[in-house]
Amino acid sequence: MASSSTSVVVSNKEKENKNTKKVTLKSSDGESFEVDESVAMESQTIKHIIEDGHYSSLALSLSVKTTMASSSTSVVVSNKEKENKNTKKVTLKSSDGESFEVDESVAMESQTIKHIIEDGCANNEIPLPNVTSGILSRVIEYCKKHKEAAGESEPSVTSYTSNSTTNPLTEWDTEFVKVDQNTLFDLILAANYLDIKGLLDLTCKTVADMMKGKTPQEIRETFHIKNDYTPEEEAEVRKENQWAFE
Amino acid sequence: MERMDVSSSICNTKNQKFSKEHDVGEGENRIGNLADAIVQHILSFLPTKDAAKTSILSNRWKYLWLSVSVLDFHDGAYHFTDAEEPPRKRKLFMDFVERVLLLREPSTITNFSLTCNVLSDSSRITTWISAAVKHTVQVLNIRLYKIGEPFMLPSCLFNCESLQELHLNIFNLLELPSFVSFSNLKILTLIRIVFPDDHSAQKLFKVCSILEELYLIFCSWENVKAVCISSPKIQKLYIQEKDPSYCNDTDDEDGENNSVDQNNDSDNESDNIDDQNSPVYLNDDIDDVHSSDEQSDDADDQCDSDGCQFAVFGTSLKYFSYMGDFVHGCHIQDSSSIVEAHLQAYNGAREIGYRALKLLWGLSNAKSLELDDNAVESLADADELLDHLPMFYSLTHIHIDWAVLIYKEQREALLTILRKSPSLSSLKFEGLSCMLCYSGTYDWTLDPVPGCFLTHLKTIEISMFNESEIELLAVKILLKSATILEKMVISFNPWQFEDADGLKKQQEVQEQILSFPRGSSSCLIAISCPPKKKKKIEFC
Repeated sequence: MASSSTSVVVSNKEKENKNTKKVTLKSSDGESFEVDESVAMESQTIKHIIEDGHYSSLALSLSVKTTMASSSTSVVVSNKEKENKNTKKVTLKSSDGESFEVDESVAMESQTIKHIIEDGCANNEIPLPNVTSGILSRVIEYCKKHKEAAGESEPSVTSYTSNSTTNPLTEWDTEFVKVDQNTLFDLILAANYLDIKGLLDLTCKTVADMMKGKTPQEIRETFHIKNDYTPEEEAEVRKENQWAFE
Repeated sequence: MERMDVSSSICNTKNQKFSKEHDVGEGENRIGNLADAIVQHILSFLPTKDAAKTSILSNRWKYLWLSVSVLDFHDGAYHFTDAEEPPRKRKLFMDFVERVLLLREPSTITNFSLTCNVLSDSSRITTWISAAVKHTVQVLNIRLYKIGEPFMLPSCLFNCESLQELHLNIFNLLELPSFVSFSNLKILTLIRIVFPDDHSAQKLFKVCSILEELYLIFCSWENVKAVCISSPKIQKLYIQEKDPSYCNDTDDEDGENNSVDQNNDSDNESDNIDDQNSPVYLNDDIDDVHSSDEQSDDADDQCDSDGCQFAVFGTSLKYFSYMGDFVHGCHIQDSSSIVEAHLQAYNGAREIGYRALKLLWGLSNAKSLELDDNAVESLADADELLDHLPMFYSLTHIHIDWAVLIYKEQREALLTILRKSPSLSSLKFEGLSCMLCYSGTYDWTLDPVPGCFLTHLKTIEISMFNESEIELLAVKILLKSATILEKMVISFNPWQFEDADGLKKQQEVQEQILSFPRGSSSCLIAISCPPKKKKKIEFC
């Protein structure tokens, strides 16, 4: 960002919720751009201002107009992101002690992990005491696959007529959940704990599909549910919801 | 959906440490150890009727299903026939819905779907819809049939701020209250709706300020002359006219599932476009104003003056699809954002060709165009206009649904379109010929060869390939003329080759095609036979 004539005020705001410090840069024609402090510090000029602590009242000479400022900002932001892309990995540790190194972006498919990272608490490893290595490796597989698909430049065309048979990820997902019941429930618990919506929906829907078309007795057998109704109680429940049982 | 808190999850997952070696046969009640919220999430993927059945599994399950936030009621009755619902069953259904609405936890309802006959229960049904609205419903799907008394949707529906998707399938006059607001509505589907006038149609579209997808199917536009769709985020527009010659009252016999073999299958929207082949007019549903249209066998009844003029503004329109006789005009401000345009006609006739041409002028900057055989036939019938087709400079993909090659006019129409698409890189034929027996002469020449064949055409795909002479000739000509072709993909019509020597026939055809001279030195040919697959639409 160049420097010459008009004045600009750089202000520093601390957000209450997040620990990421933000700064607001104001261009010569009055538009404000809020960016992460770390991003803004790509500019040595701004970096010095912030480090010197003079930011609250300093008038910095900038003649940068809005459009220039925004494009510079976006270049700065993307550079920072590229930097992250090349280096940022996180290590996830399962309950039975195994470590998995994954790209940060993949790990952030989990909202839980995302918050941990954003809160700055992810130093070396993120321990996941509720997830075994077997399940964690599957979860990582899911996140990787879905992150890849989301990152594809040609968005999968959600056109009216599906000329291709199925969305390729749908087939992959179907294969992914062809596991034994125990693994399936472990995946549900992991997806819930790690807050991965897509995986939670996929696994829960799979269980729902296992219930479809079955009589209650068949459902009990499939899931080993013990019937603790007395015959009278059971008859009463049937009568209350009669339409459903016809 | 709430997350379980960590402590309870640790408690519940004590058994999980052994899960690697755990024997399923041991019969542990894993589902019983899940938190209520997760079980309810599982149940939310079931129709409410199936979820209700879980009440009987054990004591723990007795009321779990009631507070699921996704409600889906389908009465399972006949909607399209005059057959009467057994009154007892009807009563049980009505009681069931009410019981759910009364007994559930007063938590939010995120999805509410209702499919049933109205008969003389307008006020009860209206109340149910109001209940969903009051519980900040996000996705509302209402399909009502057999309206036996005056029916009006509750006015609170029309300013429901939480609504993101609204699907209405009701043959009824749309009466809007004075205050209408849909500030969060992203998807709007209207099926069989009757618009009373320009003003209400316009009002409705205007308040949908962030609308992304709009589906207008079998609606009655006779009282609307013109309407503007200017939501800045509109991406998909789908218009399907009433099919005047089609009157079917035997579909949907069991009300639950119906297999319809569709070549153009909107799988994404199948739940909403279940009526695609079963327009829905019953004698007792006819509104006085529109009696002239009902069950008319004569397509000419809908003359141009009945058509509504749609003006579509905005630069984010990506998908445009029109199915019908192009009675309604569509003026698209900027078609350069359009990624896919589909035109399908109900009939092949001259006047339809004229109207199709008008539409095509508005789509001249689209990137992909799909036409069905009737649309091509209509254009062919109006062959004097073919030279006046616009140039499709941005068109890189053309998809023809059933190209009827035996008629010279239609071949010419297709060739004209190809000549007007200088940047075409991909061409697809879903079916090359309807008639396999042809006793004419095969004196076709591709003269002049469309420019794109020499400069841009890289991929040709042909599906539903039979072994007829016409198709083989077409393939031969295409292979010879497309001089920079990289890929030709042919897939057989599985039904054609299902007999005993099907495989042998496939082999022969394959060898024949592979032996044709190729105009492009780097052309690869892929030939396959896909498995038979009957496309199903589920009628919910």
